[in-house]
Amino acid sequence: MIVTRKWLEEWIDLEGVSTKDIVDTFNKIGLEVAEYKKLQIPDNVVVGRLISCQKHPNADKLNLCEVDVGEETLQIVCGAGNVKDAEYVAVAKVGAILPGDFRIKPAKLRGVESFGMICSSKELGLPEMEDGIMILDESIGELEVGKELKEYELLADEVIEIELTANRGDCLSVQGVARELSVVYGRPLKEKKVEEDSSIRVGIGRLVGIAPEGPIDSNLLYKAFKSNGLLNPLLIRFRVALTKERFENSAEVLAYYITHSTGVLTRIYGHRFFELRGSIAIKKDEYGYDAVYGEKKGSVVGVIQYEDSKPQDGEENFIIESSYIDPELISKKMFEHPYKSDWSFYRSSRGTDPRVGIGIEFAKYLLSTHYPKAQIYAGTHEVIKEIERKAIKIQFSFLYDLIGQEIDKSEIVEILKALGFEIVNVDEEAMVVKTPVYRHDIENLQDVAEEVVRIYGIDNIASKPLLFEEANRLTKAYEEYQKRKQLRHLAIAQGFFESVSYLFTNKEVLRKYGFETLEDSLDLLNPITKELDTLRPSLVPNLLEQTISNVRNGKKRVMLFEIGSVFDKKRREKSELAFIHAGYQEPDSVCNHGKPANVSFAGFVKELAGVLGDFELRETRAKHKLMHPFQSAAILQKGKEVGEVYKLATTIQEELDLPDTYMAQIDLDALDLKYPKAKKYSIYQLSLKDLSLLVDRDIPYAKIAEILKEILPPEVKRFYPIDEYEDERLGEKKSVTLRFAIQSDKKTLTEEEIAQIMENILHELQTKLGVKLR
Amino acid sequence: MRCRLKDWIEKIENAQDLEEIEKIRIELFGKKGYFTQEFERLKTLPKEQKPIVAKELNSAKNALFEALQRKKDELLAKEIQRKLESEKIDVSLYSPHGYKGSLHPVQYTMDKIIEYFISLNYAIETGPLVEEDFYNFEALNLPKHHPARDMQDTFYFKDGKLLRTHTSPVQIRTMQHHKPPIRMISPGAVFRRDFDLTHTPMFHQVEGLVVDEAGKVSFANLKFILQDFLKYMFGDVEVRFRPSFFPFTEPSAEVDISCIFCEGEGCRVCSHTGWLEVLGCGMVDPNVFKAVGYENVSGYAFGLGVERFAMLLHRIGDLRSLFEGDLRLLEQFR
Repeated sequence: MIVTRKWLEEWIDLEGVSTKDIVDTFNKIGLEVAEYKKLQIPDNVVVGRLISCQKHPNADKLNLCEVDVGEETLQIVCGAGNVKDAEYVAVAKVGAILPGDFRIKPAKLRGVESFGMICSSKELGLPEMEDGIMILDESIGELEVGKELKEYELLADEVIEIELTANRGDCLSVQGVARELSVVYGRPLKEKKVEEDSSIRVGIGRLVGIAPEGPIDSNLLYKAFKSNGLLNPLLIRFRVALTKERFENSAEVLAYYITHSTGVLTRIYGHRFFELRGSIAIKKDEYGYDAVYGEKKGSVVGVIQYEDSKPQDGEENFIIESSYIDPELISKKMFEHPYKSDWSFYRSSRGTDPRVGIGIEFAKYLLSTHYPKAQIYAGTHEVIKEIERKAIKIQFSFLYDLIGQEIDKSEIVEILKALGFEIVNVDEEAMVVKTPVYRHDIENLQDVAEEVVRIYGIDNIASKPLLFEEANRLTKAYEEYQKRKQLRHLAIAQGFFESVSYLFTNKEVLRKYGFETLEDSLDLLNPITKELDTLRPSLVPNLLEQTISNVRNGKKRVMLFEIGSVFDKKRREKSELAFIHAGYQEPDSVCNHGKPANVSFAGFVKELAGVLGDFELRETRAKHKLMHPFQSAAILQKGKEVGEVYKLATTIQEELDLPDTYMAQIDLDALDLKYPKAKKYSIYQLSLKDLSLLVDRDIPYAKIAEILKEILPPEVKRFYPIDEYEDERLGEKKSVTLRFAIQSDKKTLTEEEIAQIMENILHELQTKLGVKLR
Repeated sequence: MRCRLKDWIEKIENAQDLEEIEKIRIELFGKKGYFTQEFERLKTLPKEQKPIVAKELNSAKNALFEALQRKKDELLAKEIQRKLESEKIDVSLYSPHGYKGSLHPVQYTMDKIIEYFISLNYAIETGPLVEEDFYNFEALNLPKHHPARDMQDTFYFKDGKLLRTHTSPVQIRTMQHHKPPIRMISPGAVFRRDFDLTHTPMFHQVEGLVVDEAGKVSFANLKFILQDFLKYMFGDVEVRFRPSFFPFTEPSAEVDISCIFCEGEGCRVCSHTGWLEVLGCGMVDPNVFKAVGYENVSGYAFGLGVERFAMLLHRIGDLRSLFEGDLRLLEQFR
């Protein structure tokens, strides 16, 4: 919502109040100021009067003008087409500096000298109005040739843009905003009225009839005027341009100006549209909207006006309509039957001023002050019904509790009165008020409380702590949060950077990589871009994407992790923890002579273990194409599968131009971080014994481990592989070295006893797997 | 003898290393050493000379022994010193760089926010990202035709569900499952269909809700907690409440802090207003309580955007850079 200081001053006396104070006041009472600026018109731009205007001798599109600027008459070449219609114009004299550091100097244009420039509004840094130069008139004040344009306060105005909240339809007008100031400053609103009803005695009925058909919900008021063409004065064109609205039709500019000024939704029709029918027909249209008809539909109340019903070229008679429709009604209607709308729906759905008479009165005022050619027909046509006002009972104690302190009752009464509430009744405990008709947003006690708070001032409410019942509020979500926090801190200690990526990803890419994707019937209806058209089934595709761009940015070592929600094909949400490590295993430094090895399976697993603790790895099939078919493992924690770790498939690695890359996906919900219970431990000597075996090449270590688990005596506390190698001399065999931790709970074992245990192990393995001692 | 003593002492003093000292020790005190021989010789001396010579010998022996020990200690210390010196490295070569990762600034900021509210006995609650219209809009006093409910802003699914546009549905779910009093925050990701310089389709919010019996929770309480919270987050800033509008609270307010960049003087970041908008809040609208079947209660709610906080706290200029996993940004928080 855009207002200016001078525009506000038409509705309220602001003498002695600085604009800064107005801006602060707006912010304090809930009208957030998005922008404030003073329009700057450059020096040496003056009012000029065109003495003559002829075609340039050497250029068809240029005009040669003589312009009186007071002390002298200047010859100026001007390219604008509309200069020939102008009398008074803005002239930038030699020496003026226009926005964009455009310095006006004497110039020669196609062989003719030019001493200055006739300016358009845009060239002066003002909003763009019409094509061509800005034509001045006395709507901005008495025009004195040679006077600096910046001295015209109506142009060099101060503009305030208010970011209105959706509930404040009443402030979508200059009058509405001025009304808020009148509450704070205690100054009355000015009325805009002319005494005479008409300037010609003929009544509107002689021009056109009115024909309401069937029940309608809107209030409508019509007035007509006669004018030979409709030329809007500069002030109106200028202010409408300030609001950033653009209209082709000059009648629509006027209608919009009336609406923006008063808050009453106003339109202007050409009389010709109704001429054949002879009357303004008002009825429900095929969707149940209130509509205005001539020969065909001319407008839908609160929604749109069609081009045909707007005044056309050569139109002599104009019909002004001020209308009102209940905002909730029109919003619901629009939800049920969406309809193409113009600027009006934004206002009608938020609630315009129902006092339609104000719109027509203001129109009369404008026509009689700024439109010398206009003659107003007597009388009006109307379709009006009483608008009910809600009565609300306010318990003072409720108000005090809500705010947290008492406020003087008389102050509450004063605030509500000033806001336009009707005070029906007041006693010690409560008061009854009726809401102003233009405040559609006020429906209950809480709404009234909001009004009191905003005018009383939140600054005047003393803050105080709340006494609250002690309780254990460590929820499951808190435990989940702590688990994530712990993992995140461990991950960064391993060198991973935490990443946050969008919940969205690209379905095509997912399919290419062989990921399970959302069922089409459950997928996004309105994705924001093609690249982000579905929900992610894993964090990995996004992390890979981020890794690619980091590598492109020259990073030699990329380590990222993320914790976030992922979705299966049925759109069930679960939490994943994913890691990626690409390139160097460790930072390049003195320690590795600047040439660190690339990350390896073992190296990556070590990093994961630093985060997750111990886990077991099992060979697994590749579940999607990012997984290397021969370097993929299931991660098992206490026998339960919690995720996968794998090398990025070589083909894709090459395609993406990446260094060696490893990834892991962990199901966060399956991951157990419970603090374990302590067991009794042996206090006797522990011995480590190694066993090097020759095994068939195709037997995985897991197979050996499986057998060992079955046969090992309780004295073997742990066993693990410590070496593996293959070479030609071993033929079809490979060498695997295992280490056994041997310890009894009861005593220190003798060398002989240990040797016997090792002997037994070897024997079992020989029979079950056919291994040999190397 | 005296002359010999001086020679010996000189020899000891001139010894270069422990080996030489050992040699001298053996020469002097060994089985065939000087003193053994001298004491042997004592036996052959006349009786009256014996005590005199013995005394001389003993005092020489003690003196030499002491000198030897002193020299030995001295050489030992020197040798240790030499050994240590030989182990000298240029420590300045090993300043570590790039071993530790970092938390994401948004998540770190979230941690900081959560920590505050946990310390004040707020519960953490979470909810699903794919939501139903009822929880995201309807129950929050946003009926289907409400102007504040702009279709364009919401991601919908083909089956009518949607991605939550705020964390407020968690309030509704929590109130449905718990009786008052309630004191909770719900942190998490939210989604709006908006993508430009200052908007990303996903961002994070922390929402707070406090409900207790009617008349107990007031706007003054809301003001207290938010003033304290913002000072905890941003340090010594001024806090300003501006009346505003949200469908689910009434009265509502937006909360500003004095600009932390220009300290209220006016700069580019605060659009020359001296204030930065950081929070929305208000007293829970009675229609929200009605939707969850609460009666005779009072409560306040507030919500904030975590990215906004993170950007202000860590001086991050570009919102979109937060979602790109770009190490050029993340490495700075190491």
